[in-house]
Amino acid sequence: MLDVMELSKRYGDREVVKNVSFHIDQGEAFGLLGPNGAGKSTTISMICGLIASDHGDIQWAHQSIKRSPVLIKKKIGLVPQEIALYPMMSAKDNLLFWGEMYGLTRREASQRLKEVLAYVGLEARAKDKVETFSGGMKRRINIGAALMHRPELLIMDEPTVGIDPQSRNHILDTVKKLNEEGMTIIYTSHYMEEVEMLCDRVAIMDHGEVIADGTHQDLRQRLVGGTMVHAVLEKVTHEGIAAIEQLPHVEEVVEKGEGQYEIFVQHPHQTLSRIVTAAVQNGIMISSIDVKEPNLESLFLQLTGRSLRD
Amino acid sequence: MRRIGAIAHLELKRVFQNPQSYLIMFGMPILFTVIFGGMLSGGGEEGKPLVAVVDEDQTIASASYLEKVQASSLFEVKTLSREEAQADLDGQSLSGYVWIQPSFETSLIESESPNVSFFFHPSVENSGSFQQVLENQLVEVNHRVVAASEYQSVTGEPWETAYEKMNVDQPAGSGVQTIDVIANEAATEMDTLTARSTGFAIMFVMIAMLSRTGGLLEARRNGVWDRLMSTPALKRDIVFGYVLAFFLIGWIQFGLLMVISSLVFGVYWGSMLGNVILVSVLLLCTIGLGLAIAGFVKTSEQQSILGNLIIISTCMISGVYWPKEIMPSFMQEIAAFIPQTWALEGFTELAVRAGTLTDIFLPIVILLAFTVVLLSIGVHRTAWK
Repeated sequence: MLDVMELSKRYGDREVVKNVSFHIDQGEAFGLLGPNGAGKSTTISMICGLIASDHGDIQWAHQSIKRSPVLIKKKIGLVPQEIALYPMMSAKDNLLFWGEMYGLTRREASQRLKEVLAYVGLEARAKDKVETFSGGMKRRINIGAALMHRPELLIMDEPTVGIDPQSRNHILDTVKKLNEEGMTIIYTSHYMEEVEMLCDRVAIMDHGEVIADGTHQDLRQRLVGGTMVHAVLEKVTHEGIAAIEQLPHVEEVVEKGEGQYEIFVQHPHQTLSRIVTAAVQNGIMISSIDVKEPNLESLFLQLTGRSLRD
Repeated sequence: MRRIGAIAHLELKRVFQNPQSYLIMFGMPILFTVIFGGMLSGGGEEGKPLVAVVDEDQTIASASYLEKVQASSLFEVKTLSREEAQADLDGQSLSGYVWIQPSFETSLIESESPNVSFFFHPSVENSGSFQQVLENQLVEVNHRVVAASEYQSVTGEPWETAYEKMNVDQPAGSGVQTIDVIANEAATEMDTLTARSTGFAIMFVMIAMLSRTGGLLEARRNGVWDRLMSTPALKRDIVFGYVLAFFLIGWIQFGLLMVISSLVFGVYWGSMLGNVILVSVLLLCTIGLGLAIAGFVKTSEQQSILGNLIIISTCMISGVYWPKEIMPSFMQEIAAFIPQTWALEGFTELAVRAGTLTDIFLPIVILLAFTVVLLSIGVHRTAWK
């Protein structure tokens, strides 16, 4: 349905998007995960036709955005990172306006208005000015504005930044519901929990490149060592660490300083007791030890040496 | 087309939902008109300008002209010598004087330009109109001198008798009726308020337009512009929608100010068609200026500061606050490069000199030239780049 092919964008000497490619099927929820400055928003802007790529192409049902930008824009609903609304106008006026800008007649927009307000749970506040809304409510109207024309593809650029947990849950539920109803979704975030919860497939971006992509299962399999055991140890000896490294299913032991160790293992539940035994037998005292299930955060950490929120 | 309408509709709603807009758009110009109009026009009989007549000809024709000037309800008139008149004018105790030179009557009889000069202090707001009234009276004397001269040549009667016979007002209902359509006294009396009303309407339309065009910078900052660009609307339609909105807002403001000034201050605006064309061109020029300023700054706050500085200073130079004739000559020359000067020139032509569309051709062409330049720069830098 949507093909992003070898997309590149350069600002001066800085290449912000490097040869990015991915494919999204109809009805799929696709996540773009990466830290701030990874190139997610620039990629989104190119898909929406806001900026032109230096190289590569974007195709919707085999039609290039370069040749048919208006046609493709009609299929897309963009939820920008900013609250791109008129704060002095009511929620209703905002939604009607954006509906008309997406090509609805006034009558069509008025008919769609109630449905959208119900989606975002703000029927009771329709006539209130957006400036009087909480951060979360503003974000919900921001999403509503992109839903007015029933887009086939909803692109959401960090839609939950800076909001309370209740509004965040509401937004995530809304996105889930829209996807279940058949809407294709591109969801960008640096919150891996959101991407993991919502998206079938994920592309992880860093420094303008896609460094990994696939389903959650594909990506977990790429994680060296599978599960990470995080331990805080005292009276550590070389012999003791070597003994742990020799244990079956232990793939790597990484010292993180100040007695902290990350031990990458397969089959963590079997291996954990062996690690404890080996440490004690070699005179190492264990202050704390816990198992961290593999997730996209650990994969990103392993691939880049940095946290997603760095 | 629907999207253009949607943008225009939303912008109009945004403006007129905001109570502050009414203060800037209507309250301030009316207040400024009252303050500056009242300050410059004075009031009642004591407010009449004092004009001196220097009669160095001392003939029947010059006496007749003096009599006509004295009969005018527009001025307080006294007779002085040339030196006294000049001294009083320099000392600002006189608004102006008419210098009737020694060969006045002879020049009229010989169909030459009458030897009369008019001097007004630069601070006199209506000098142009006053001069026109004085010239009208002079034309009347001239006609009678020519008639008397003809009469004398046919009858051989003495000049004094001939002139006396010709110097009689035609009774009502006579065969020929003269209708003075140019600069009648009633129209001239409105001039100060007309000038201030027009000037401050222009200035506050510009200020309001500055605020509106600054909205584009705001839209860029808060992501609305990018969101607009992500819709299927063409960039051309979006820009046109905004310009149409600004134009309509400007017309509502200017139109209402014209109506209010007519009803409240009795201001006479002149030709309807001329005003429609002139206001429309002025509004486009103003939109261009606002967009051009927005194109060279980053935030709406910067635009507001820079824009107000430009608008207020150029309004001062162009004669919005006071007659530009009181300013040094080099500033008057600078005024020729300011759109407001030409707009005021056009409105003055329509209101004071009862001009028609043809008479404001030059101001319109010059304002159009400003519009093309400013709008091109503005649209390119704020919306297109």
